[in-house]
Amino acid sequence: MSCRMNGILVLTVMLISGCVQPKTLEENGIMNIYGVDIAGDDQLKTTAVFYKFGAPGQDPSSLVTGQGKTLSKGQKRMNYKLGFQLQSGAIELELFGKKAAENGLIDYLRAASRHPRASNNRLLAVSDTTAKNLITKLDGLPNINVNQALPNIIDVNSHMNVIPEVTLHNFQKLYYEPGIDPVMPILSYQNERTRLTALALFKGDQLAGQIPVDQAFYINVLHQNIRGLQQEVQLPLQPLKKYLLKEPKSDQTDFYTLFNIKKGEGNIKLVNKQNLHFHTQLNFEVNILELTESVGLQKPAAINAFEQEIEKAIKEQYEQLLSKLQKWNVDPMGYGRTYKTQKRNSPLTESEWRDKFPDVTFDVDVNVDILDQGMTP
Amino acid sequence: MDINLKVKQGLRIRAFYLFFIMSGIQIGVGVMGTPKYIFLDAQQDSWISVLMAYAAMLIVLWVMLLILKSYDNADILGIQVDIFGTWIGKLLGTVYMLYFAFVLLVVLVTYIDVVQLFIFPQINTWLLGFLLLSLVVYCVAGGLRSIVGVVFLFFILSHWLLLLLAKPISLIDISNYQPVWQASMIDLLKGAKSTTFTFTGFEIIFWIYPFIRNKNQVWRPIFLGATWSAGIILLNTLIVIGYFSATQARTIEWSVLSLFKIVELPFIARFDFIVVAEWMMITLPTMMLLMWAITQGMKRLYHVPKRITLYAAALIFLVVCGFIDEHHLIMALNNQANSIAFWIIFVYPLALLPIVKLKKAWQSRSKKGAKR
Amino acid sequence: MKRKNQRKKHKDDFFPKKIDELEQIMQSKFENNQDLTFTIYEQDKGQRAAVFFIQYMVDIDQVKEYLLDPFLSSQDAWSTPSLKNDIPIADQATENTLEGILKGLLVGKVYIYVEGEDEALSYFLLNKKHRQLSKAENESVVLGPQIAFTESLITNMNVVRWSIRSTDLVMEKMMIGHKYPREVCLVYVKSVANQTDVNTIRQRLEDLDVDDVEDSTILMQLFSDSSSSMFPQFYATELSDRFTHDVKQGRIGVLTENSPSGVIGPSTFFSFFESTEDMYMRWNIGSFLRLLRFIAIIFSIFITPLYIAAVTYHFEIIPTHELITIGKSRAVVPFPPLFEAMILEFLIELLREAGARLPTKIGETIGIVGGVIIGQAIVEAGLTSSILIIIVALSALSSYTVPNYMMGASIRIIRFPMMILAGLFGLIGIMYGACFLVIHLVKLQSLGRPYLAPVYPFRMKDLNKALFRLPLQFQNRRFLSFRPKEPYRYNRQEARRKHDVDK
Repeated sequence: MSCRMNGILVLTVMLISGCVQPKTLEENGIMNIYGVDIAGDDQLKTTAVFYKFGAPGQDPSSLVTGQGKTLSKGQKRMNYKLGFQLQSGAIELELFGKKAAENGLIDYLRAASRHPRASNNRLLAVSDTTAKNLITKLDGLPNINVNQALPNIIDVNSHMNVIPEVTLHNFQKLYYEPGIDPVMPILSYQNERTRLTALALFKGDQLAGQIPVDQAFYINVLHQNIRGLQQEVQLPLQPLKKYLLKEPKSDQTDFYTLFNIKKGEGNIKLVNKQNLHFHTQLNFEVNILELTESVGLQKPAAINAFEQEIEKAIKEQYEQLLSKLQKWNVDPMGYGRTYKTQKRNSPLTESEWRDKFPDVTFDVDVNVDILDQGMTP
Repeated sequence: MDINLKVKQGLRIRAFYLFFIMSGIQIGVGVMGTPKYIFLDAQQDSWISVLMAYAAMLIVLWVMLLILKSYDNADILGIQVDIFGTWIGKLLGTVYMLYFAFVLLVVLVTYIDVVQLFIFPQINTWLLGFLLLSLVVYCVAGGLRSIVGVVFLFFILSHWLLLLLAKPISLIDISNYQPVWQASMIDLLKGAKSTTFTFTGFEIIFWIYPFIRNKNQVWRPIFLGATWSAGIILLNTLIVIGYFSATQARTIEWSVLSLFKIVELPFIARFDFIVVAEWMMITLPTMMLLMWAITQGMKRLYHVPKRITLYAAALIFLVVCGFIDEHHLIMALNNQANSIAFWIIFVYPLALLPIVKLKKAWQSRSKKGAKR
Repeated sequence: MKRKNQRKKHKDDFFPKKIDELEQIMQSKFENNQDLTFTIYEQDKGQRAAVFFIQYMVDIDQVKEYLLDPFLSSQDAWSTPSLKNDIPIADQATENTLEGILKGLLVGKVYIYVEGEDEALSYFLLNKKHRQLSKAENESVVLGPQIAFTESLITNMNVVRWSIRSTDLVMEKMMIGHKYPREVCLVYVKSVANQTDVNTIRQRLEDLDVDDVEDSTILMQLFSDSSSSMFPQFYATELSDRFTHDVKQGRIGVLTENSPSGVIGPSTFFSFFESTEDMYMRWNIGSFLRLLRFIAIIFSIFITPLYIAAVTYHFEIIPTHELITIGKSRAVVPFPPLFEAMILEFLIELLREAGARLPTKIGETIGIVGGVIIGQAIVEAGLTSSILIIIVALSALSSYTVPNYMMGASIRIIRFPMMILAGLFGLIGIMYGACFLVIHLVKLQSLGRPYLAPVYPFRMKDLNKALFRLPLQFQNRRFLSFRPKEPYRYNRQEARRKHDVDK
């Protein structure tokens, strides 16, 4: 068959069967941030920040809300209010209201990921109050850069290892896996700015508790290697008094030190299978950046003492965190996962671990190596 | 019908290209979704199932080569006619060709389904079928040399997708593979059986063998090609087990394509669209080689000119594929093809070998008797 | 005895004739043309002779000095044998048919007929006007010889023979075209070129049944393998160094009278992206340049269709930050992306075509006016988006990196169907187009040899000539895919031997 016949046939078939449905960029509203809240009596409220590229010079971002029993109904209602379709392919951030998170999120997430054209990379976060509150605060400053600020807060922080990166994919993955629970960052509006204030801990898919952002890295260190994170720790002055270079500033018993974790890693070992006793090992290599009291760190003995104090302080914080977790019965660090890898003959189930976790015992060993402390003593 | 083919010197291909033919026809549409089916049986030990299937495939390939080497220059059609007589031999050949036609249809509708799911929900099935079939017809009309050339080039042009797997690999969770050796042997074997449809394609050796120029070097490219495709399937299975949690791996339909959803580059945000479009270059070699086998079979058995079979078969496929557009129907067809393929490609050569050897032994003995 | 020396007399021999009769016949053949100069000379002894030629075809000075002078000052009675010895011009022949005489007059022969003889004596004194050797106009190289072929076959053959100083060089001449015959010259090195290729070209040329061949590129189209393909199957070049380089490597060249391009066959797809500069530069720079060209054409073919597909169907591919920029620039445009891109591409092709046809002085102005001002005005008027202008301009620029003009034109034309496919079917359309191109190239043949050699059929040893260059120690083989008779250029071991340190 010559090329000409081929071409004529192609043309005919195309004309007969019609072409593909276009989804032109400027004819649709492209959603960037999506918020889900629970309104009264089973209704869901959806809020969306979207871009519509219309007349030039105009800021393309706007806001729309909808309501319905299901997410799709809410989206349809939003479409009715506007003159065009909203597309969900480029959503960067999905926000959930606190009540919605406490109720259970898995239905919304499943609805989102059922769509094969959905983006698995969208970030997830919980709002302190409701999603709509947080999003509408943005609308007061009509500026695309402000819209971008919200996902950027989370993005940058997760890249700096402050919090683990929570995307649609890995939230679901941690949820489905028995023996580990997912987490999510909490954003709140304080002092006229949106901030990352805490890390939400989920039991299954329901919000169970939250820990302040400074302590989030304890969870992070067990998921991945941390590089380049700055932490501040409060240390007692007494054991280090003999290394002080000048008199302490005031009658404080504690002082603060800021150090940069050059490399931090943690791992969990199951020591005793019968009694479920876990040994957690945390290793940090740090650079000292700031001290509020001038402790001289030139001598090896001083460095050793300093290291031991930091180790003690971190260990204490960690054990406090663990007891809180046991009280809430959530396991974001993955102790159950370690147990599962060694449990033969029958796989670990979710309910089994929920029963066992409050009775689990831990011991924590922290090892801090100060690599260098800067140029001045 | 001639048992041994006479092939013109200019139409022969080097054994080197068998590597690309093997991997080209095996890595096709099955790779996209197989890990899910293996996982249903063998869970975190699915990779062991893949290795078992690979070992079985190597054995069957060795047996196939033994069968083929017993003759001067024959393909499976000639061998069947030689052993079973003209009528049954032709019947078996027709069954083989119908099996190929079925596989081609399944590959075609599966790819169309994937495109409809991932990129264009409203695209007309006939349109996509027409696009793909027109390419297949254009290439097969050029003869075996152009098919092998296209298979070779598409292999090179499509393997960059492996580089994209770096990001999912970095997110693998080792604990997903532990504890190891949990599944029982039965489960592992069941898992191995579900990979059959993915590994299918190597039976093309039965058809292409007479066209190879240097037959004495045939084993190495075949072995390397089989290893390469098995390696890719193994890699994909390993990544799916490690990247997804157990429930997700059991339920997500096209798991390998979902792996690419998180890959991002500074100038391209979502790679899964590009991957699904690029998969056309992976599917087409499979369809072209199968179509060639169908035309070759019709010519050998019924003396129908290749051009007529080509256009008629393409038209039939076009018409039929338009009616198969429901997802569960396509999955049912895949499962059916899986079961049929198991018998034709794994069991049949093993059963054929002793018969061939017997016949050859009987022939040489009767020759010796005749000499005396 | 005398019969041996006598020629057999045929009944319808044209000669012998009387001079007056000859003059009448000649004038009647050139009735409305006052081109023919027919002069009758008479010797004292009564012998008459006629000298006739077409005056502007012939070098008059040479006629006077070397023909008429000895002719007229000869003391003996004129006769054909004596004249043969007296006149010092080397290129002499005899002619005895009217057809032969007319054909000879057309190509610049001077005829002398002594009355009563059986044949006329002819001397070849052509004064063909031709261009001086100059720089190539359509292909330019930075380094290396710049001589281009001219319209005169003799000059071209001179240049080629001087470049290939080998006794194995063969230049076969044949006349093509039966109404307006033209000389065509087949050039090859008989110890290197593949005999089958030579025979194929010769047979194709001999079998040609045309009335006229205007140019060598038309000749090339006449003996090409596939007339429906968009890609040229033979390499046509103006540069003499490219031509001679390829002939020395074992290919076959065809030169035509009145045509400044030489045609080389067989050629591969990758030979169209080679420039002799890659050889003259060092190997690393040459490889980089060649790689750059390949990337440039892929970029040129696919970037505009990718933009169209992304904006029309798959905006999710574009990262959010770029999405905002592209969206803002698309917002002003009233057309769908496909039309927008077609308008711009059409505009660029118009500019290119107009720039090629305009006289030089106006051409430069239009280039600047069109390129800068119209482009800017179009964006401000809101007919296209600024991003698309950058993309289209870049892709047009990339398509000009191809050294061969015909291949560059093919690449530019391919972009249009690709854009239409992208506009209709998005990414699937682009992939369909790419697959179609690959299949087409695999099926294409040049002189019976596969077009995509050495990539398919794969020959590792040839890759260093087609895709990249290696240091000269590794270039000791000729292009094996075309099976030359002598595959080796020089000894490999010797080329790679390094002397010991401090020796």
